[in-house]
Amino acid sequence: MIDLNSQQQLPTPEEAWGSRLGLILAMAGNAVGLGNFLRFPVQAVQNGGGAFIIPYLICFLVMGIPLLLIEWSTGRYGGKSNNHSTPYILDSMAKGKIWKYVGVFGIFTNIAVVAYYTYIESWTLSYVLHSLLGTFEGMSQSEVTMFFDNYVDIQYSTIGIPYEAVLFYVLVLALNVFILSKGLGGIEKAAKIGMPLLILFGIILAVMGLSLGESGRSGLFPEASAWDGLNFLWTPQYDSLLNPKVWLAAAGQIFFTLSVGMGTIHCYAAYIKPKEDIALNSISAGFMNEFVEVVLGSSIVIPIAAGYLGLNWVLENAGFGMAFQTMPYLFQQWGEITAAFAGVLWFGLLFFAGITSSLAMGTPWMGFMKDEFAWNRKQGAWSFGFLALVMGLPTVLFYQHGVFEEYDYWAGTVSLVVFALLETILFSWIFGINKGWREINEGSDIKIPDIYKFIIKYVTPLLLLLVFVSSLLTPENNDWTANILRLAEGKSWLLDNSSIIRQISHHGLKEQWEATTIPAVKESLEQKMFYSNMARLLLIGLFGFISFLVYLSHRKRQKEGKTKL
Amino acid sequence: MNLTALFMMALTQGLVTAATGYFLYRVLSSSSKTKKLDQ
Repeated sequence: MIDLNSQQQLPTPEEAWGSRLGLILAMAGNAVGLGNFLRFPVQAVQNGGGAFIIPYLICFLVMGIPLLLIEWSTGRYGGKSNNHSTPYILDSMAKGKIWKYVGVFGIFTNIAVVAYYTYIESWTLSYVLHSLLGTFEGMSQSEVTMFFDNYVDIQYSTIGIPYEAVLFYVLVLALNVFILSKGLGGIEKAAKIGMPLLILFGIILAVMGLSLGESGRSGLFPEASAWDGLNFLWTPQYDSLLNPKVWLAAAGQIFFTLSVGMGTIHCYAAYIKPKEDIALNSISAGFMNEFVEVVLGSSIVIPIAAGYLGLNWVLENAGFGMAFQTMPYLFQQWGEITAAFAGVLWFGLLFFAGITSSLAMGTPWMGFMKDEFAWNRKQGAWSFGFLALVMGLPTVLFYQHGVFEEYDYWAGTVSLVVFALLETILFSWIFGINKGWREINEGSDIKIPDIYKFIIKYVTPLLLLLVFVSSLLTPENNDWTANILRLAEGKSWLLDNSSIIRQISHHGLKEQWEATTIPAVKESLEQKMFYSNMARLLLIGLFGFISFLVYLSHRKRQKEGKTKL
Repeated sequence: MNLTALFMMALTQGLVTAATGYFLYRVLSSSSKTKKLDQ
């Protein structure tokens, strides 16, 4: 295969990383997100507490690190031929026209995810303000929950600002666009400020959480104890190691926490110099993410919630909503000034975690438009903001109708797994593991153990395939053991409503619709299905639009004689 | 807090912190070597 475009050009000086530490902080910032503080502890609680960490760390070693190595080396390889987004990075690695369209996932996912991710980011910024203003002072747990429900109902104003949620959303999106318009320098600066502050805020809150002990007991929750939360989180329940559900949850958590399968790592790595190390850099960024997740993420939400509300409450209510619906109430128990301080730290930490990730999501689109249509940074950043706004407004306006969840499921979950599986097959089996291994080790400052050549070729694709198939065919009640036994007895496989197959047909919603006789509930479910379908149409439209741009760019390359032969 | 949980927490968090510190140290030390060579 001859690639006429692979003249080993260096990236243009204005689009290169300023320093190695800046690159690692930006990559770590990309990976560290809201999930580190909200998803990880909840997953651990729901999957065997202390035992969860064993499959989690094993998955980090056999799936996380290999995927980081694949994506960093793939990105740097693409950058050598001046390709900075996944369509043409993947295209440069194999024969055939299909791979550039597989690479569309690496732009699509980012725009679709950033559309709702910046909405969560805007909540964090707004909650920083509300913490400072003392809005939550004297509120009960249910009042704090109601405050959040009111906040996302855009017609309601919590402090007199009309359309407060929309305003904060546009503000945060504009901030992202502004930083992106400054190019890699802006992203690097944001990571250099955001990451150390995030870690500092996390350490302060972790110390507060770990030192809470039994001092948060009240008449309502006389048994509350932070120790109970930590005991549950860290006491290994070894029998759960035999449960496939726990392993799949661990693999899923590793997958999402490292921000792999998105196309952002490829794009960042495409701006690395051709002979610069990627092995040590990628592992450092990966471990920095693990530090934030395992050390800080496990020491804040669970111990503080268990310290005031008790372990049983945590086990029943653990979820993403705790960040906004519970934490402000818990901080109030520390007194007025400490509550404001803790609120600023907590929501500030989430804001930095969010913005360093959302900035990364802008770069694949900007890289693609610059490479293919010579758009400058400002054009790239503002067009990205416009696309994010068009895709994002439905999530803001129709949040309560499930548009948000629909985006998160298809773009933020399913697409990632599909793309990661395909790129791993491309890297290991089509580009070739020998060539890939040389790419990984070129300019390397550390020796990657040879066993990883085997892991990348066989174990990682197999694990990804398992994650994908298990999402496709999730058994009823997520009970793998019972369903496997059913199969052995010759009975059929029972699907859970959370499986991809049943999600496609709204099976769960239809079941609820059939089960209820209340007209208002029926109408609400019908509305939910309608808005879900609209959200799906928007996502398909976005994917089609980016595919069309890739097609146009391919035609343009053909005319300019730049396509591979 | 029970001893098993405390041990598991200290072991895991200690290992992750040590590994993160070690790799960052390698990055910073090889970056300063490159700077010296450049000079």
